[in-house]
Order: sequence, then C-alpha cells, then structure tokens
Amino acid sequence: MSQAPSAVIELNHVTRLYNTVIGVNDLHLTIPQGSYGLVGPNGAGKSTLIGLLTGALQPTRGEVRVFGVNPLKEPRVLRRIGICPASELLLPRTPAIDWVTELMMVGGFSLAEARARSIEALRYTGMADAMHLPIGSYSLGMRQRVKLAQAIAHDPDLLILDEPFNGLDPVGRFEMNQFLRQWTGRGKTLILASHVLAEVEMVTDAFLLIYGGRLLAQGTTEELRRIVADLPQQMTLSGPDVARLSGRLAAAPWVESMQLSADRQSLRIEARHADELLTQLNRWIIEDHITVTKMVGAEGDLSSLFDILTRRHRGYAR
Amino acid sequence: MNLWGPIGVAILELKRSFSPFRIGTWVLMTAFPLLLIQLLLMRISPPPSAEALEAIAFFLIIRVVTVMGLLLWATPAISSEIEGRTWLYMATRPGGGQSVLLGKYLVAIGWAISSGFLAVLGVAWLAPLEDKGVFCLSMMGLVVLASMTFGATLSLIGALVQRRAMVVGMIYLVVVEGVLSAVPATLSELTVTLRLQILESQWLLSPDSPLVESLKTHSTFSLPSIVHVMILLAYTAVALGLALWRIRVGGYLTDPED
Repeated sequence: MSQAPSAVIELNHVTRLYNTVIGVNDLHLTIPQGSYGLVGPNGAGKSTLIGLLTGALQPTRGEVRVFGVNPLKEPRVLRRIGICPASELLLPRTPAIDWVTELMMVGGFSLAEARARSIEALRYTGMADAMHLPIGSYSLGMRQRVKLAQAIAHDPDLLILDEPFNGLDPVGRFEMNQFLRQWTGRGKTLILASHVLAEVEMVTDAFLLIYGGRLLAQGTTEELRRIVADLPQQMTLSGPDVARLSGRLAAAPWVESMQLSADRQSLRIEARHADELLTQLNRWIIEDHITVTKMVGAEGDLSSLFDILTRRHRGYAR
Repeated sequence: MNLWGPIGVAILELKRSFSPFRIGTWVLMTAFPLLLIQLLLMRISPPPSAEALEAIAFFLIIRVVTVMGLLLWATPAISSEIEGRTWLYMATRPGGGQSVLLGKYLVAIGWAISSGFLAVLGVAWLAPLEDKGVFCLSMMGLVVLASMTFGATLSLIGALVQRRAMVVGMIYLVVVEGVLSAVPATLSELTVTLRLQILESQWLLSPDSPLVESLKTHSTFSLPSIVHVMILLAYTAVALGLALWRIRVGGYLTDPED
C-alpha cells in the first residue's frame, strides 16, 4: 500500500501571469495537513492561488501539487477538494437544492445520491427550510450558506473558503466559526482566505500572508509577531503631551526619525526595531505620566503590517 | 468526466430553460416558417410549386430556425456560466467544464430539434406538398443532423471565444455557412450547409430541379447519402472533441483583477 503524502499542498516556484499582469509571483511553499489563514488585501493574489490549487488556472511557470498530484493533469484529485469561491452567486430562478444536486452529479454522484448529499449539506448549513426556494430570493448570508453547502456536500479532505464571512451577520459569523472549528477538528485541511486578519485569527493561528502575488510570510501568530518585532516599524502616538517623549527618543540609538505635528498633538516615530520601540515606549509613557489617546502601529493595521513585510521581502529592511 | 455530470447539467439546464423568454423565442421561431409559407400561399397566385415550397421550407426551417436557435442556446454554454459566476464551481470539479458543455449541448439541440420538428409538421399540414410523408421524414432527418452539427460547431466557438461568442458565431454562420457554402468551389465542400443541401437534393428534390443542377458541380455530389451523413457526424465529433479539449486546457478568465 502506498503511503499518503505528508504535504497537502506543494507549490514549486509557481508564477501565474494574466498577459502582463502578475497574479502570483514565484510562490514556493509546502502546506501539511491543518488549518491555515490565507491573508492578504484585495487584489493580493488569493483568488489566483485558489484557482491554481483547484486546477481552474494553469501556472505560467512552476508546478502545483495537491495531495501529491498535479490537479491539472489528474483532475480526479478535485473530488477531495471543496471550494467556496468569493464571487457572488447569480442564479436568480434556481432553487439551492437543484443547484447543489447538479454540482454533486458533476462531481460523480448518481442523481439519488447527489440529492441525498445535497439535502444533508443544506440542512447542516441551516438551509433546510429554504432549500426549495430560488436562490435569487435569499439574503447574502443565505447565499453564503448555500455556497458552503456545495463545498462540503461531497465530504472533501481539503476545504478552501474564499472570504466566507462576507455578508454574514454576527450570528452567521459565530455559526461559521463554530463550523470551521469543527471541520478542522476532524483532521481535515482548511484554507481560509480573507482580507481581515481578525476573522482568520478566530479560526486558526497559522497564517500565509500574501501580497502583490508574493508570499510575504508564513507561520503562527507568535512567529509573525517575532518577525515584526525584528523589523523597522513606524508608530504614531496622539495625545496632549506626546511632545515630551521627543527628548527620550532623541537619545535612543534605535530611533531612525521623529516627526512632531504642527499642533504638537501627534508624534510619528520610525524605529529600527519594533520590539525595542514597544518596550521602551511603554516604560517611558508610564514613568513620565504621559497621556496617550491613540497609538497606531503595524499590528493594529493590516496594511501597515503588509507594508513592513513587503519592505522586508524587497530587502529594504534587515 | 463521469456520465452523471452531463446528465446533471442537462436536468438543471432543462428546468432553467423553461423561462418565459426561452419559450417565447421557441414559439416565435417555430411559427416563423409557418407564417411565411402561409403568407406565400395566400399572396402569390398561382401558388408556388410543391418543390419550390419544399426548398423554401428547407431554407426557413434548417438555415434560419434551427441555426438561430442553436446560436442562441448552444453558443453561450461557457460564457453564461462565467457571467453567472458559476463557472468556478463547475471547473473545480473533475470534468466539470466538459459536463457543462455536453449537458448544455444536449438541451440546446433538444430545443432546436423540437422547434424544427413542429415547424416541419406545420408546413406539411399547411402546404400542398406531393408526398407529405417523405417531406416529413427527410426534413426531420435534416433537422436532427443540422442540430447536431451546428450545435457542436457553435459550442466549439463558445468554448474558444470567451467574450462575444455569439457575435463570432453569427459571423461564422454568415461568412462560412452563408457565403462560402454558396461558392462553387472545393472550399465550400467543407461547410455543413452544402452537405445538408446535397442530402436535401438526394432525399427530397427531383433530379431535374435547378438546385440539384447547381449542386452537381461539386465533386462529392454523387456520393451516397450515408457518406454525407457520416461526414456530418464526424464534424460533430471533431467539433465536440475540440471544445472538450479546449475546456480541459482551462484558463478562462473569471476574476482577473484578483
């Protein structure tokens, strides 16, 4: 009996171009079984990466392997993948049960089995009462549930969800969270793509950060924090007496630059090491009794985090 | 690709196709040759000969009704899924794209054949034809062959051209099947229309008809009907095979900005 490959996903220097536009650029990574957040702003290349993993797109260069095989050459592997794309579902007159049944039949199930699986999946996602109504009559949250139902109805080993929280109300988000935790608890693999870090953090602490088609960083929340701590960081402090910090900062060797606003209410600091900046800054604020009303740094702002990681990736930072 | 895939697509596509727009178009197309032939019978005196009516019926039913129906229903098989944002759900299942093409092809030719058959029966009922049985059988055979072959060709165009597939399909029908098929040259023998016309002349028209005379210039005219039928079936198989191969290659743009 052949041994199952340990890596669920392997990307070997994969590049995908849309004419002259880069979708993903030289992605090289291995993902074992587990739960991962694929995080990046809109346009980062998340959907392109998902298209490559599911064989919907052909890499311009490099090789993609899922469960040890190339999904383009051996599309049978797609039976082990469930995908919930981000795009809105436009099927105004089709009932959810008919659509999910069609997809199950396309996946290889007989009419009777496809129907049974569809009903089960739609019930599981809370669509039991509405499954015979046209999709056009559903709310955005209900359409998300239908999309999820078609992704799990064939019981895949790898579930890929692209922005699954879009359009969900707080209850829907909570239920989606519960579902995803249960899913990963069953020993299956989950790739959860989102542009909101907090949403992903609720489900998993393993991240793939993608930006501009490149993989900027990979690891757990703690590992990413460590990366950020060693990197230069900008921070802006707001408050009535933040100017008093400038004396302390001027003497610190790790401070690159400072800029005080004209009204002296805001201080922008650029430091060589985020870790030192955060440690010292906290101490000085407490010792000098300085009032700070707002503090914005990379960790509170995803775009700043990506900015820092992009600079690191390009070699602008150590 | 599994057998259930095209069946699943065909079942849902058939359900979806019973829309007011599709039914309205189907009724209009079916009624169009009947209305025109009734008008000819009422307005022209003496009425056209049986053979002229059969030739007119061939033109209206095969070259207008069947072909236009397939242009509308078979060509956008892929583009409608992409525009409806359901392509990715299909394309990410084994043989999903191919299932879409074959399932929609079956439904499209089903609609075209049903429209063509009703139009044939209507014309046979309305027009003073010599042998209505032969007319019905011949024309129904031609409707089936035309639907299969044009359906496959237009499906191929739909698979090759992601955007404006219907425009390209229309250009193909006018330039290749309209103009080129009428040119007395070897190249015209590659067209579906010429094969159908030769079959029409062999099955339906008298040997001294002017249309038959004009077709005699083609070297393949004298070949038996079965050869022309086989050539049309081969066209169908090749066109569908190429379309399935194109879908297998993939790479349709669904959301290029991300």
